[in-house]
Parts: sequence; C-alpha cells; structure tokens
Amino acid sequence: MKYAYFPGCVGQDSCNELDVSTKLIAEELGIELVELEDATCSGAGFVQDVNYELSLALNARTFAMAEKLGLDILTVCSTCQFNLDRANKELTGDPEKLAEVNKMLAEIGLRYSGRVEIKHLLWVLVNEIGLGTLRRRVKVDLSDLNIASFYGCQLIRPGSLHGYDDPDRPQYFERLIEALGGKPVDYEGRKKCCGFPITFVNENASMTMNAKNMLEAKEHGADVMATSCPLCHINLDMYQGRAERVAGQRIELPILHLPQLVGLAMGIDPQRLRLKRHIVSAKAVLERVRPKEEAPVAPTSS
Amino acid sequence: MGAEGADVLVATIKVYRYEPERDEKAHYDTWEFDVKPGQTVLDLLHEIHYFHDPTLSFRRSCRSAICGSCGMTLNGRTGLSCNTQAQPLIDRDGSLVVEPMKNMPVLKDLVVDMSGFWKDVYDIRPYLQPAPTAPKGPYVVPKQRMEPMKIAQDCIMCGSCLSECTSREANPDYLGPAALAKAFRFVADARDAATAERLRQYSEPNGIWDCDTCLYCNEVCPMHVKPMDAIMHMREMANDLGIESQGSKHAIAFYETILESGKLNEFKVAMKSLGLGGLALQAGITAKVVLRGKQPEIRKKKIEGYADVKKLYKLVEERKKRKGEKK
Repeated sequence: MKYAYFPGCVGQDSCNELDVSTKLIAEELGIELVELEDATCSGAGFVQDVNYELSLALNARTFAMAEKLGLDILTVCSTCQFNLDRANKELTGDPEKLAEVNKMLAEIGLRYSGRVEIKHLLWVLVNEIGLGTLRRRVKVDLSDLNIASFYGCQLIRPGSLHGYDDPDRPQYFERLIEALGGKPVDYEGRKKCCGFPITFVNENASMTMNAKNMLEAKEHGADVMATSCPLCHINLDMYQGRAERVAGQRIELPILHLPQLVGLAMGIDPQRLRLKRHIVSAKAVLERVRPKEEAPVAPTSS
Repeated sequence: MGAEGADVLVATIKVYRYEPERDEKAHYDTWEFDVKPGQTVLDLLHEIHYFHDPTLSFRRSCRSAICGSCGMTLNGRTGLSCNTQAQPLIDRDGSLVVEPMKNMPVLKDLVVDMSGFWKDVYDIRPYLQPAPTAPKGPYVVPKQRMEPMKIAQDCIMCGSCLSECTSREANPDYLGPAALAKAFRFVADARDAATAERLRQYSEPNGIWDCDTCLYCNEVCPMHVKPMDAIMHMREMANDLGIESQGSKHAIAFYETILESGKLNEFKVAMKSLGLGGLALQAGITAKVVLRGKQPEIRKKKIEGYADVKKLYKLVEERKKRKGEKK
C-alpha cells in the first residue's frame, strides 16, 4: 500500500507529533508514504475566503504532483481532507474548469487529468488496512479506557462529498476504537464543531462550543479523546484552559491524535509517539494501559 | 409484523411534548403503530393527531416541501417532516424520535418560536435596493450573473439550518445561515446597488466572519441551498472591497503567509490576527506551549516550488481582474 502523503502545515509544525506518529504507524502497518514535500497548504478555508480561484489552482498543483507519482493522496487532517477533496471533485466534475486550471498549470510545467483520490487516514485504516488486521496488531490493553472520538466537522460533512460515513451517525472512529480494544464513548458532540475556525474572531463563542463538547464527552464517561484533525487538537488541547475559564469548571481531558492512539495500542513507545507534547498531560491515560496478556493458545482438540 | 405483510413495520414513535404553561419540563409520549413503506414522518404525526391525541401541536401546510412550515428534529437531524420517510430512520435507529427544532424556544410540543429567525432575516434588509438610475423597462440580467445566486435563491425559510447551526448554539447574537444566505441572494443580485454597504454591515461582529464552517447548514438544507458557501462568497467579496474586520484580518494573515513560503506560518498568523495586545492576553497559553516545545517556527522555509506558487498567484489575479472588467 502506497500513498502520496499530505502532512498538512500544522501537522508538521505546532502539532508535529501528528506527523511523527503517522509515520511510525504507517511503517508498522506497511503503508509506504511518499511525502508531498513541495505541496502548498490546502488553504484551510482561509485562502478560499480571500481568493477561491487561487486555492483551486494551488490544490490542482498538489494533485498534479501526486498524479505524476501515480498515487492517491493520504491526509491526516479533517480540514485538509475537505478542502483538497472539494477542490478535486469540483475540478473533476467540471471539465471546463479543469481545462482552465490546466492552462495555468501548463505555465509551470504541470497537468492534472483528474485521476487522484484523496483519503483520510481514518478511512484507510478501517477500509484498507482493515479492523481485523488492526485487532491482531494490538499489543497494549486499552480496555480500561473510555475513548471519545472527535471527527472534526469537515471529515463527515457534507456527507455527499465524502461518501464514507453517515454524517448523522459517524461510525468509523468508533469501530476503530473497538478494534483497538478501547471502549468508544457515544456522545453528540463528536460530530460538532471544536470552534477553532473562529477562535481568533470570537473566542468566547469558540470556547463555549469547545467546552460543551468536552464536558459532554466527560459526562458520558470519557477518559481520553482522540481526534482526526490537528486544528481541532489545537482548540481541544492547547485552548482547553481557556475553555475551562469560559465554562467555569475544570475539564482535564487528555487529547490524542488518531495515529497516536493507534500507535499506543500497537505498543509503540509513547515517548516516540510524542505523547508528552500535549498541553493537557496524557499521564493519566498511560497509567491505565498495560501490556496485553498473550491469549493462551487454544488446545488443539483431540 | 403488521397486518399488510412484510413491508409494514410496527414501530415505536416518540414525540416531544411540552406546554410551558402547564408542564414544568418536557416529556416524551410514545406510540406504537404500523408504518408503511413510503410514509412520511408528517403522515405519522397526522395519524397521531387524528386518531390518538388531537392535542399534539405541530406546524404544517403544503405537504410538498414548498411552504417550509414543518421543520423539526427527526432522530437528531433537522429536516422537513413532509419529505422525510419514516421507515429508513426506524430501520437505522430502531425507533423514530420527533423533537422540535433546536436553537429556538419551544412554544408548544413541536412548535417553536421563530421570531429570532425572522428578526435576523429582517436585519439583513431582505429587499432589493436598486440604483436610482435603474432602467424603466425590464431589467435584463445576463445569465452568468444569475449563476452564483443559485446556491441561495431556493430557500423556503424552514429554519432547518439555524436549528443545526453550531455557531448560533454558542452565540445567540450570530446572524445565522438562513439570514446570511438571504443576504447573499441580494449581494449577488446584479440589480442591487447596495453591495458594498451590505457587505460592510454583514462584516460587523456576529456576521459573516462568525461562521465556524461546520457545514451543518449545507448538510441539512432540504432545498440544497448552501448557506456556508454563500457566506464564503461574501467573505471574498468583502476582502476584494477592502472591508476590514477581525475575521478578514485573520483570513488575510493566513493567505499572506502562504504566499510568503507556500505553507502556513502559525506564528505570523497569530501575530497579525491578534496583534501584540491580543497576544499578551494569550500569554498563559504561550507559556505552556513553549514549555512543551510546541511553539511554531517563526520563519518558514520556502517550499522548493515556491516560484511556481508565485506564478499561479499572478495568473489567478490577472484572470480575476479580466473577469471583473467583463462585469
């Protein structure tokens, strides 16, 4: 299995533990990643706010680079996934628009014919690696942990764009958590907004939603939360103290990235997964996991 | 199994009941009856109303997804009860749960007070403001100028988008998706002469820049209106006109750092968006971030193909200019 890897800007900067842990689990699971080092930012919605056409051209450039490699793109960020895939489907669904963008790409020696698919790590783990394989690779017992997922809006909506999960009842994360041996937490907030896109515009509103989702997860028993989006991670982890201030109560919920959770279950050293990089300490999580006892070999029937 | 064969399903239907003058808090009434394939949730509500409990209150009129009266929450998702079939929801979740729309106070049972919704619509000035020199005869609008309006003009004002809006949930002062989609309908109208004034108004706090892009509005609209896309269009138009706001500062900062290196510069975006005063208020976070070694790079290395990024930027800007002149 081989992908053109789109790490995203935040995943290699303030949240670089996401990139590191992605590469670690990819190696363990036999996913070969060819990093798109020369790709630009997906625009994250903000470039689109200023100049939508430019975001189309820049993302088409990224697709053309992956197409040259003959590979589909793997993302590890809900926001990158949405912005790349929206551009991709807009271009592939409109030959005229694609031709226009190709005119510009020709000036930089590139061409995109529309053959690249864009997939998030969560979907690849569940659909292509498979839950059975993941179950067999688990070396650490997570059964003592109630794990709340946090998808990030743009990985599940609009359902018609993505075509993977039911946007009203997303299940990919929950099935993955189960396969890893953890207990998934069922709560509404997992499909809601973390607030990150408006943190710099209306911090109070952003922190109100941020706190509400985390407190709801805790009320449903969550010991830890895992997210498929580094921008959500910034709000959930880095800004948790601010959310606590708005909510007027302590939250203290450790937040992991999706590949950190997978890596932890597979027995990768937490230090290598950079679990100590989070603002909210993940110590309580590590205290509740232990090496999995080897299942006794079933006696052969005589 | 129901009397009419395998397709008929005996289903549990839970309906939200609340009468503020009588009830201290809301409760659910439960009915069990046959649900036939193709029956809508509204059909079932009528059945309850006519044969089981005439005191159940709910709004409805056309039964054809045109009037926008019967918006409610169906197994957690807001939509029209007249164009939502019951069986697929029951098949998926085991039962049907009907609740009033969210983000609006309940008047009785499934009927909500939509005055907040309407106030926002009025606030955006939902009427044409033509130039004094409008033609005396018919106003002919070229077809390509009608295209962008398509994402907003089919709105039937049902309130489904507002019901699911996560930004509105956290901030009752936010204008919300329906009003802003309507706003775009006039911003995009070739005959309207108040575009800049409108965009200035919508760029105020609690307007276009307060949308958190959660995509719920696009997802649930029964008429396939795309309020979030309409909001994004208005942001770009406001930027083109140089209308400044906290939101535009943030978007432009983001955009500029990408033009500097090809990648986002988190440090610069924070600096430019918040300014030194804003950053000082975030000192607590900054200290923790530095302590964990999570501080973003101050300078970003340019990507190898940076010259190509610049070139694409130039080409797009030229195209945009040409298009603007054509208008």
